[in-house]
Amino acid sequence: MSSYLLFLLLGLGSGAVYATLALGLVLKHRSAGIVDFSHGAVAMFCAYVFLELHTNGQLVFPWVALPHSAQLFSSENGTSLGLSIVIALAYAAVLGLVFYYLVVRPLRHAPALARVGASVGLLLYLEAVAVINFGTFALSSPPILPAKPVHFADNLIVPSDRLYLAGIAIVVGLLLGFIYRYTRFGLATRAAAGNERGAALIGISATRLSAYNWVLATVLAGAAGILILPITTLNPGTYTLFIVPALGAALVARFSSFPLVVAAGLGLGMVQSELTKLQSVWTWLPQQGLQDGVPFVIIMVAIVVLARRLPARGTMGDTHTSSIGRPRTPMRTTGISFVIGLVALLVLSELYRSAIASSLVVVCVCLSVVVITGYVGQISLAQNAFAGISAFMVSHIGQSLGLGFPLGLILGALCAVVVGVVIGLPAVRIRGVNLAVATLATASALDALVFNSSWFSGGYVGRTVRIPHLLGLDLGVSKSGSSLVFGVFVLVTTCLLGLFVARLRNAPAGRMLIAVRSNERAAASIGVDVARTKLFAFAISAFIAGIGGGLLAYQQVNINPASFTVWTSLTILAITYVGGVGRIAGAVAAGFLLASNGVMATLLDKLFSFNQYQALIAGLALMLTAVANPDGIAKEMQGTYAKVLGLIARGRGGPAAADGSVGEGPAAPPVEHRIAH
Amino acid sequence: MRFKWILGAAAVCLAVALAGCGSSSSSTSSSGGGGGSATSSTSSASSSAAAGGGGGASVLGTPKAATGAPVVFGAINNETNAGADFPESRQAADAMVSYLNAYKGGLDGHPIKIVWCITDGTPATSGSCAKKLIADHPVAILGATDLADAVTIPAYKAAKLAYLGGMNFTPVENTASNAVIFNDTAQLGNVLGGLYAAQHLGGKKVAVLALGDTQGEFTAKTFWLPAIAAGGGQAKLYPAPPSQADLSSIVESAISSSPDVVGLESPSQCVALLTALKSAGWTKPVISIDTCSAPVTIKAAGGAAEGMYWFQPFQLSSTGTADAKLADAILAKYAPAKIAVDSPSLVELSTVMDIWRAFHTTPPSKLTTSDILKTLRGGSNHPNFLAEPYTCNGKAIPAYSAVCNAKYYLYQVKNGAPARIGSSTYDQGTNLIH
Repeated sequence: MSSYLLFLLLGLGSGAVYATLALGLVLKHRSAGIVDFSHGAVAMFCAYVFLELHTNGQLVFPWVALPHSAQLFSSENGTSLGLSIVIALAYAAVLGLVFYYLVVRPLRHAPALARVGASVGLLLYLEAVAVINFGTFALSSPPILPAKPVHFADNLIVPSDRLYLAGIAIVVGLLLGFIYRYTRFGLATRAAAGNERGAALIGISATRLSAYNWVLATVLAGAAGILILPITTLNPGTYTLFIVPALGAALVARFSSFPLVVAAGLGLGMVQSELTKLQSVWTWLPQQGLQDGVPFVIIMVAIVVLARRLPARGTMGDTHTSSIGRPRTPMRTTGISFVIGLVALLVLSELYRSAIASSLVVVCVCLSVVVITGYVGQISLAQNAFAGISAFMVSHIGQSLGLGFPLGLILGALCAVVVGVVIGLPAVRIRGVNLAVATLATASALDALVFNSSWFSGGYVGRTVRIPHLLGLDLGVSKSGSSLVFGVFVLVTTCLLGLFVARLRNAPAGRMLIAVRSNERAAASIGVDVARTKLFAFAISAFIAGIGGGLLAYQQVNINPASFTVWTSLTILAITYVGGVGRIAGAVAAGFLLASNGVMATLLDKLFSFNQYQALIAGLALMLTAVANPDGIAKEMQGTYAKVLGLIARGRGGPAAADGSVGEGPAAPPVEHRIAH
Repeated sequence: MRFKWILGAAAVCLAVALAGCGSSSSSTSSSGGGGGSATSSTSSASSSAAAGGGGGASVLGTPKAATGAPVVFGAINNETNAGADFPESRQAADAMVSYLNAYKGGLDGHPIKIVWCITDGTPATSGSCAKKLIADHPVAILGATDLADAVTIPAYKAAKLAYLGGMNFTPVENTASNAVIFNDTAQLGNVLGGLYAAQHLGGKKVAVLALGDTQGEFTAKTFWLPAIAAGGGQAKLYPAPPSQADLSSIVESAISSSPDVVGLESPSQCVALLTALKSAGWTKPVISIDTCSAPVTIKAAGGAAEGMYWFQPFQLSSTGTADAKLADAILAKYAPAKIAVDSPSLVELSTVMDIWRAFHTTPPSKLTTSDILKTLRGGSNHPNFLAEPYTCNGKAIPAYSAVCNAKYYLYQVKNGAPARIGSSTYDQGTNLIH
């Protein structure tokens, strides 16, 4: 029995990490209404700041290329522990303040997606800066808290630092709970968050309060990042992974109760630890990925139990959302796109042919985001997981059932539909950032339990995929490496998918999707079955993503789980958002201009060896888009295109085509897409 | 208006970011620079390099500059993956190229140039990189640290390009008909670790702590567990989840089964696992993969790494061999001050030097893929920089026809630094690799 207790107590270390990070998440959500996916990355960066000060005496800055460190103290001995912590926490405060005024404040009334986009942008940016400036060697620090073993009983010995960490999390949680319930500052914060105008009338500056809270949350992230250093591994990747369990703890506490957050975080860590013990007792349990699946289970349970009390469910939250395009001449646009694509494939070199094919594959997956997020307003962070399910199923279907193209591709995509509908089930009860958290946890669980399983994905060596043939014609990348035929095959498929999405947008079903996006209650009042519509959208988007995944499998021939990690789904959402999430053209812009292996990236890398800085610039672009241009690149491009057409028409003396009548119109009637949620 | 603002800001960002690209792009005689050099805490062998650099001038020899049109090699390196990046591979290769161009006259008097493509290790990005390199028409591809070899090697093969050296992560490059892998850098090292644990460290029961992902599972189940069994030991695998903050429960689970030895197979969790083992009072032997032996890792683990064993195919600075002294001098002169001296950097030093030794008198026009492969596969016991001589007859590891040398050295952390144990080389267990 004592061994079970021992594992529970050992889980306090991980639990304290999740609890402390989750406290900051809740604080940020309460102050600015943002679920900050970059919170773990902020903790990571502050930990680096501390470690560089403590070991090398250097103060590091969050940028690259320009001088990004200053020698503050002796490089021989570094700085004392206490001073390093104080400076690092002050640094965290400044970092928080800068981010608040540059990004968070302008987004206070922005749609949930813009806020998600900004936080993902900061995550990508900080992670990229850390990779470039610090590398990925696992680092650690000497003990910060006393780490002597505490003997509770025979065979029940726990390092004291775990107990101290848990104690700190509990004290901070209670303190924050007290502050926000009983102090003037806390009450003012709650008042400002509840009614900004009302608070202003009684002299409370919501902006200032929000800034204070954001800074406090960032300092908490920094403190968490520093305190956990001796018990965990610091590299740019690990801390960002902690955000998933931390989000689970925050969701359980409905992003409001600080003591509950601490309890949930500690509980989550203890459950993970106890599972390790149970794995050694019950050997039939999966030996891999089980612990990573715990946050998913907890989040799902929380959704079922707490859905009605979770914030943002059917509330009047966002004052505006990104605009939606309306395809006016889909057939003509598809035809023109096909001809342009075909000419490009025939004329350009193999390097760019391959880049076009890669771009088109990404366009397919991004089209799925346009449907689910652009048209229905559901923030799904699992789109690339759908693509992954389909890609591996195409391989299984080909090898086990002997079914090749096109049946294998369609069946693979239908498998993704099944998963999509299951993942879409929470959307019936929740929306907005809560749905984003739920889909992120699901994608994370799929990553850990399904994609990491050798039986499904082939593990590290991956799985091979049958080369697609149609009527005796080899549609894959040729043995000599030419992508011409494959490019045409992907072009045709993408054009058909684009046409399908355009038709969907204009059909009655599409109008139902947009009605749900605009106002669920209003849609329900006119007879739209909201739940069924959401599930329909998840099914359609999973199918489209599945086709994209199948095409990727055909392109790579050998596929492995690295292509479908949870963070790739975040990237897909991010680039679609920058491209323009409400438009088919947005997906095209994402695939061609923003994808890491797309045409623009290939061109820039050819010219400037751009690859090393791609994630960093993507992060910056994402933050800039969220703040300044939530409609994305596509709308601006279409606007420019319409103006050019107008000028040409005016030159000929004809009527100006200022409505962008070629392809997607610049926007649907305002009533359709600007209605507040 | 807003879009103009974005474009302006983006242009500034782009300009700022690209300003730092020079050193990380294609290089001829650059010292590498770029990522990870300025504030990296990878303290590595700067001290040893400096020591080597003390007498560096004499070790380096007499300058003999290369001139004329460069001989271009292509290489993909993993540097933007937040979980595992290896800038030291590029930095070391560039340093060796700089040395060879400045002191050895390059290849037949022509400077060597490496065109790099930086990847995040995903098949999509690496596949795109392969296309880019092929479009540059290099004479061959220099192996570096690319985690997506399964996608890129077939592309090189289709383009009829030879793939030379580097880190051999997957069976794909180990068996590719267009590949010559001068040194096995990982696979047999894992087998040797398992065998040594069972046969020499008293490992009747061995707990293998491996990263809980596909790579960890593959390496543990393919190499460690069969080797321990072949050595007469009993092995159990304990996957360490990548997203679990505190690994003490994994370690407690492992040591509660009373093993005699712990094997570590988790590159990104070495420090956390070593400190958790120390914290749990573990005093019996620990044997690890060589990526846990990077100086920065040993330093970060503090005393927790003391006594740890590992196998490595390269002569580390502490061995004091002529090659090790030359490597130190080259890194001191041409590499970033804090380059991490570990397998990914040592294998590049070895690869570039081995290529130079094989072709330094060959006119560039004769550097065709078939001639390159024929030359490297001919003869036997070719000098192999920092490692045992290589023979590319497909027998070093029978299942891996492309591997030319699989002889390893045994090291142990003593007084916080790597020390070679004995003078033997190890290549047992090649029959365990299938």
